[in-house]
Amino acid sequence: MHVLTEVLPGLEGPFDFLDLGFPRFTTRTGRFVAAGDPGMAKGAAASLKLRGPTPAAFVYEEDASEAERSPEDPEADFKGHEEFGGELARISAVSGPELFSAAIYLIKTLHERNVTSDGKWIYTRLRTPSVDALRELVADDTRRALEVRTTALRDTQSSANEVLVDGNVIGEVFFARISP
Amino acid sequence: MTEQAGQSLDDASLVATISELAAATTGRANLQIDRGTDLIEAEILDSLDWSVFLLDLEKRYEVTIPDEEVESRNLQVVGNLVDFIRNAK
Repeated sequence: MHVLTEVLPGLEGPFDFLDLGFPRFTTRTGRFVAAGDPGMAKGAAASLKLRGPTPAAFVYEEDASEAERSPEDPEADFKGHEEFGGELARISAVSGPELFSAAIYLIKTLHERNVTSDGKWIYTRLRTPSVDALRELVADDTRRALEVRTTALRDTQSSANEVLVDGNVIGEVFFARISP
Repeated sequence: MTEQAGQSLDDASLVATISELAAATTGRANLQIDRGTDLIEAEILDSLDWSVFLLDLEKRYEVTIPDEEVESRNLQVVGNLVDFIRNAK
Protein backbone atom coordinates (compact mmCIF):
# COMPACT_ATOMS: atom_id res chain seq x y z
CA MET A 1 0.00 0.00 0.00
CA HIS A 2 2.92 2.32 -0.69
CA VAL A 3 0.73 4.61 -2.74
CA LEU A 4 -1.06 5.78 0.39
CA THR A 5 2.07 6.41 2.40
CA GLU A 6 4.31 7.65 -0.39
CA VAL A 7 2.18 9.30 -3.10
CA LEU A 8 -0.76 10.69 -1.16
CA PRO A 9 1.14 12.76 1.45
CA GLY A 10 2.97 14.66 -1.32
CA LEU A 11 -0.17 15.88 -3.08
CA GLU A 12 -1.53 19.32 -2.43
CA GLY A 13 -5.27 18.87 -2.74
CA PRO A 14 -7.80 19.50 -1.33
CA PHE A 15 -9.56 16.35 -2.45
CA ASP A 16 -13.02 15.21 -1.59
CA PHE A 17 -12.87 11.63 -2.85
CA LEU A 18 -10.20 8.97 -3.28
CA ASP A 19 -10.54 5.83 -5.39
CA LEU A 20 -7.65 3.36 -5.42
CA GLY A 21 -8.27 0.33 -7.60
CA PHE A 22 -6.30 -2.84 -8.33
CA PRO A 23 -8.14 -4.38 -11.30
CA ARG A 24 -5.30 -6.68 -12.25
CA PHE A 25 -2.79 -8.67 -10.22
CA THR A 26 0.86 -7.97 -10.91
CA THR A 27 4.13 -9.33 -9.58
CA ARG A 28 6.22 -6.70 -11.31
CA THR A 29 7.90 -3.76 -9.66
CA GLY A 30 6.93 -0.29 -10.77
CA ARG A 31 5.79 3.09 -9.58
CA PHE A 32 2.75 5.32 -9.63
CA VAL A 33 3.03 8.01 -12.32
CA ALA A 34 0.69 10.90 -13.08
CA ALA A 35 -1.92 9.93 -15.65
CA GLY A 36 -2.32 12.91 -17.94
CA ASP A 37 -4.68 10.98 -20.17
CA PRO A 38 -7.62 9.11 -18.56
CA GLY A 39 -7.06 6.34 -21.13
CA MET A 40 -3.79 5.45 -19.38
CA ALA A 41 -5.78 3.72 -16.64
CA LYS A 42 -7.08 1.15 -19.10
CA GLY A 43 -5.22 -2.09 -18.62
CA ALA A 44 -3.15 -0.71 -15.74
CA ALA A 45 -2.62 -2.98 -12.75
CA ALA A 46 -3.58 -0.16 -10.42
CA SER A 47 -4.92 3.36 -10.54
CA LEU A 48 -5.42 6.17 -8.06
CA LYS A 49 -8.08 8.79 -8.74
CA LEU A 50 -8.57 11.86 -6.58
CA ARG A 51 -11.55 14.12 -7.09
CA GLY A 52 -11.76 17.72 -5.99
CA PRO A 53 -11.29 21.24 -7.34
CA THR A 54 -8.02 20.07 -8.91
CA PRO A 55 -8.45 16.36 -9.66
CA ALA A 56 -5.43 14.10 -9.86
CA ALA A 57 -4.93 10.65 -11.33
CA PHE A 58 -2.08 8.16 -11.20
CA VAL A 59 -1.51 4.76 -12.75
CA TYR A 60 0.88 2.01 -11.77
CA GLU A 61 3.58 1.81 -14.41
CA GLU A 62 5.17 -1.64 -14.29
CA ASP A 63 8.77 -2.22 -15.25
CA ALA A 64 10.36 -5.45 -16.47
CA SER A 65 11.55 -6.65 -13.07
CA GLU A 66 9.79 -9.23 -10.98
CA ALA A 67 9.28 -8.00 -7.43
CA GLU A 68 11.46 -9.81 -4.94
CA ARG A 69 9.51 -11.78 -2.41
CA SER A 70 10.33 -10.76 1.11
CA PRO A 71 11.45 -13.72 3.23
CA GLU A 72 9.44 -12.21 6.07
CA ASP A 73 5.73 -12.77 6.39
CA PRO A 74 4.18 -9.32 5.83
CA GLU A 75 1.24 -10.31 8.02
CA ALA A 76 3.40 -11.50 10.91
CA ASP A 77 3.01 -8.22 12.79
CA PHE A 78 -0.76 -8.60 12.91
CA LYS A 79 -1.24 -12.32 13.34
CA GLY A 80 -2.57 -13.28 16.73
CA HIS A 81 -3.56 -9.72 17.64
CA GLU A 82 -6.95 -9.83 15.94
CA GLU A 83 -10.35 -10.35 17.56
CA PHE A 84 -13.46 -11.47 15.73
CA GLY A 85 -17.14 -10.93 16.42
CA GLY A 86 -19.74 -11.76 13.78
CA GLU A 87 -19.12 -9.59 10.73
CA LEU A 88 -16.48 -7.58 12.62
CA ALA A 89 -12.76 -7.98 13.12
CA ARG A 90 -10.49 -5.69 15.06
CA ILE A 91 -6.95 -5.04 16.20
CA SER A 92 -6.65 -2.78 19.20
CA ALA A 93 -3.45 -0.90 18.31
CA VAL A 94 -2.17 -0.22 14.80
CA SER A 95 0.06 2.65 13.66
CA GLY A 96 -0.88 4.82 10.68
CA PRO A 97 1.67 3.52 8.17
CA GLU A 98 0.54 -0.08 8.75
CA LEU A 99 -3.15 0.77 8.90
CA PHE A 100 -4.22 -0.52 5.52
CA SER A 101 -1.97 -3.56 5.50
CA ALA A 102 -3.63 -4.49 8.78
CA ALA A 103 -7.11 -3.76 7.38
CA ILE A 104 -6.43 -5.98 4.37
CA TYR A 105 -5.21 -8.76 6.65
CA LEU A 106 -8.29 -8.44 8.88
CA ILE A 107 -10.77 -8.51 6.00
CA LYS A 108 -9.07 -11.46 4.32
CA THR A 109 -9.02 -13.40 7.58
CA LEU A 110 -12.62 -12.46 8.35
CA HIS A 111 -13.74 -13.78 4.95
CA GLU A 112 -11.75 -16.98 5.34
CA ARG A 113 -13.51 -17.57 8.68
CA ASN A 114 -17.02 -16.42 7.80
CA VAL A 115 -17.40 -17.07 4.07
CA THR A 116 -14.93 -19.56 2.65
CA SER A 117 -11.24 -20.29 2.68
CA ASP A 118 -11.41 -21.89 -0.77
CA GLY A 119 -9.48 -19.85 -3.30
CA LYS A 120 -7.87 -16.56 -2.48
CA TRP A 121 -9.46 -13.35 -1.25
CA ILE A 122 -7.81 -10.33 -2.82
CA TYR A 123 -8.15 -6.64 -2.21
CA THR A 124 -9.48 -4.80 -5.26
CA ARG A 125 -10.47 -1.28 -4.29
CA LEU A 126 -10.46 1.43 -1.65
CA ARG A 127 -12.90 4.32 -1.77
CA THR A 128 -13.21 7.17 0.66
CA PRO A 129 -14.54 10.71 0.86
CA SER A 130 -12.35 11.23 3.95
CA VAL A 131 -9.18 11.96 2.04
CA ASP A 132 -7.72 14.50 4.44
CA ALA A 133 -8.37 12.29 7.45
CA LEU A 134 -6.76 9.38 5.64
CA ARG A 135 -3.69 11.42 4.72
CA GLU A 136 -3.20 12.44 8.33
CA LEU A 137 -3.76 8.95 9.66
CA VAL A 138 -1.30 7.13 7.39
CA ALA A 139 1.43 9.63 8.29
CA ASP A 140 0.87 9.35 12.05
CA ASP A 141 2.65 6.74 14.17
CA THR A 142 0.06 6.92 16.93
CA ARG A 143 -1.39 3.47 17.52
CA ARG A 144 -5.14 3.37 17.09
CA ALA A 145 -7.97 0.86 17.22
CA LEU A 146 -8.70 -0.62 13.81
CA GLU A 147 -11.96 -2.35 12.98
CA VAL A 148 -13.34 -3.78 9.75
CA ARG A 149 -16.97 -4.64 9.10
CA THR A 150 -18.41 -6.50 6.11
CA THR A 151 -21.37 -4.53 4.78
CA ALA A 152 -22.21 -6.52 1.61
CA LEU A 153 -21.32 -9.92 0.22
CA ARG A 154 -22.19 -11.27 -3.22
CA ASP A 155 -22.30 -15.00 -3.86
CA THR A 156 -19.12 -15.61 -1.84
CA GLN A 157 -17.33 -13.87 -4.72
CA SER A 158 -17.02 -10.22 -3.73
CA SER A 159 -17.56 -8.02 -0.72
CA ALA A 160 -17.73 -4.46 0.54
CA ASN A 161 -16.21 -3.66 3.91
CA GLU A 162 -16.05 -0.56 6.06
CA VAL A 163 -12.77 0.35 7.73
CA LEU A 164 -13.06 2.15 11.06
CA VAL A 165 -10.29 3.84 13.01
CA ASP A 166 -11.10 4.67 16.63
CA GLY A 167 -14.75 4.04 15.74
CA ASN A 168 -14.86 6.41 12.76
CA VAL A 169 -15.40 5.11 9.22
CA ILE A 170 -12.43 6.17 7.10
CA GLY A 171 -13.09 4.20 3.95
CA GLU A 172 -14.70 1.32 2.15
CA VAL A 173 -12.60 -1.60 0.92
CA PHE A 174 -13.73 -4.09 -1.71
CA PHE A 175 -12.55 -7.68 -2.01
CA ALA A 176 -12.97 -10.37 -4.63
CA ARG A 177 -12.35 -14.11 -4.41
CA ILE A 178 -10.31 -15.94 -6.98
CA SER A 179 -11.64 -19.48 -7.19
CA PRO A 180 -9.17 -22.34 -6.79
CA MET B 1 -45.48 4.73 -8.73
CA THR B 2 -44.22 1.81 -6.69
CA GLU B 3 -42.33 2.78 -3.59
CA GLN B 4 -40.85 0.75 -0.77
CA ALA B 5 -38.62 1.63 2.16
CA GLY B 6 -38.29 5.18 0.89
CA GLN B 7 -36.93 4.10 -2.50
CA SER B 8 -38.86 5.02 -5.62
CA LEU B 9 -39.12 2.05 -7.92
CA ASP B 10 -40.43 3.70 -11.06
CA ASP B 11 -38.34 3.44 -14.20
CA ALA B 12 -36.97 6.98 -14.09
CA SER B 13 -35.88 6.74 -10.45
CA LEU B 14 -34.26 3.37 -10.90
CA VAL B 15 -32.38 4.45 -14.03
CA ALA B 16 -31.29 7.63 -12.22
CA THR B 17 -29.98 5.62 -9.27
CA ILE B 18 -28.16 3.21 -11.57
CA SER B 19 -26.59 6.20 -13.33
CA GLU B 20 -25.61 7.73 -10.00
CA LEU B 21 -23.99 4.50 -8.76
CA ALA B 22 -22.22 3.91 -12.08
CA ALA B 23 -20.89 7.47 -11.96
CA ALA B 24 -19.73 6.98 -8.37
CA THR B 25 -18.02 3.72 -9.33
CA THR B 26 -16.21 5.10 -12.36
CA GLY B 27 -15.72 8.71 -11.32
CA ARG B 28 -17.18 9.75 -14.67
CA ALA B 29 -19.88 12.41 -14.71
CA ASN B 30 -22.60 12.85 -17.33
CA LEU B 31 -22.96 9.19 -18.22
CA GLN B 32 -25.53 8.62 -20.95
CA ILE B 33 -27.56 5.75 -19.54
CA ASP B 34 -31.07 4.61 -20.43
CA ARG B 35 -32.99 1.33 -20.32
CA GLY B 36 -31.27 0.07 -23.44
CA THR B 37 -27.71 0.68 -22.23
CA ASP B 38 -25.49 -2.37 -21.79
CA LEU B 39 -23.17 -1.19 -19.02
CA ILE B 40 -20.36 -3.56 -20.04
CA GLU B 41 -20.70 -3.46 -23.83
CA ALA B 42 -20.89 0.33 -23.74
CA GLU B 43 -17.62 0.27 -21.73
CA ILE B 44 -19.19 2.24 -18.91
CA LEU B 45 -18.11 -0.38 -16.38
CA ASP B 46 -15.24 -2.84 -16.54
CA SER B 47 -15.32 -6.15 -14.67
CA LEU B 48 -13.98 -4.68 -11.44
CA ASP B 49 -16.36 -1.72 -11.65
CA TRP B 50 -19.23 -4.13 -12.31
CA SER B 51 -18.50 -6.11 -9.16
CA VAL B 52 -18.35 -2.94 -7.03
CA PHE B 53 -21.44 -1.52 -8.74
CA LEU B 54 -23.51 -4.64 -7.94
CA LEU B 55 -22.45 -4.49 -4.29
CA ASP B 56 -23.50 -0.83 -4.15
CA LEU B 57 -26.81 -1.66 -5.81
CA GLU B 58 -27.54 -4.52 -3.41
CA LYS B 59 -26.85 -2.24 -0.45
CA ARG B 60 -28.93 0.61 -1.85
CA TYR B 61 -32.02 -1.50 -2.56
CA GLU B 62 -31.44 -4.25 0.02
CA VAL B 63 -31.78 -6.93 -2.63
CA THR B 64 -29.66 -9.93 -3.58
CA ILE B 65 -28.47 -10.19 -7.16
CA PRO B 66 -27.12 -13.72 -7.68
CA ASP B 67 -24.56 -14.32 -10.40
CA GLU B 68 -26.87 -16.85 -12.09
CA GLU B 69 -29.50 -14.13 -12.45
CA VAL B 70 -26.93 -11.69 -13.78
CA GLU B 71 -26.12 -14.13 -16.55
CA SER B 72 -29.53 -15.63 -17.30
CA ARG B 73 -31.37 -12.29 -17.27
CA ASN B 74 -28.57 -10.32 -18.88
CA LEU B 75 -28.62 -7.80 -16.04
CA GLN B 76 -25.82 -5.73 -17.48
CA VAL B 77 -28.57 -4.18 -19.63
CA VAL B 78 -30.09 -1.36 -17.57
CA GLY B 79 -33.72 -2.18 -18.43
CA ASN B 80 -33.29 -5.79 -17.31
CA LEU B 81 -31.64 -4.61 -14.10
CA VAL B 82 -34.46 -2.15 -13.43
CA ASP B 83 -37.07 -4.90 -13.87
CA PHE B 84 -35.09 -7.30 -11.70
CA ILE B 85 -34.80 -4.84 -8.79
CA ARG B 86 -38.46 -3.91 -8.97
CA ASN B 87 -39.52 -7.57 -8.90
CA ALA B 88 -37.08 -8.40 -6.14
CA LYS B 89 -38.52 -5.79 -3.78
